[in-house]
Amino acid sequence: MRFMVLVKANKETKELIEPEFKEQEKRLRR
Amino acid sequence: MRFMIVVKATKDSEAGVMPHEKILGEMAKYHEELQKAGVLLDASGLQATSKGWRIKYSGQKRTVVDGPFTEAKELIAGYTIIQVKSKEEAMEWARRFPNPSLDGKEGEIEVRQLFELDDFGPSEAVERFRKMDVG
Repeated sequence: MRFMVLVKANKETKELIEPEFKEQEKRLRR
Repeated sequence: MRFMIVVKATKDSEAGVMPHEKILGEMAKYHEELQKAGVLLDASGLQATSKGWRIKYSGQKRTVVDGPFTEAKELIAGYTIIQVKSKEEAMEWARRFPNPSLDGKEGEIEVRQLFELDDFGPSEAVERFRKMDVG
């Protein structure tokens, strides 16, 4: 049997690894 | 550069509906093309979250939460990993990915670039990953 362990992102990791995340949040807030 | 094409879950995939011959055939054809082009690294479908579990962390505390999970749009049902020379090439391949929905209607894929070990800079721990041939 094979299992995949997924590491879920949180706000901090999203900000670190996805520079566009902040922009996306801004757009969503508008 | 490696990219993961993530297939988002649907009501059907979460209900444990197995892919029918038509979608299996389309997926096989697409993945054969990836392989012929020498860009296919790995691919697999994932079983429904009803067969999985989560572990939530709060500092040192761990809590196990059994599936199924309900936020279908955030769940994944499969993945394909490709190795290509550019983001544009990844985009081209992604655009050719068959509609993964089991009813041929609404489906979604998401493409994410993988970190390479070199992205982390010099690190003793990274070297250990390199020796394991993972990461």
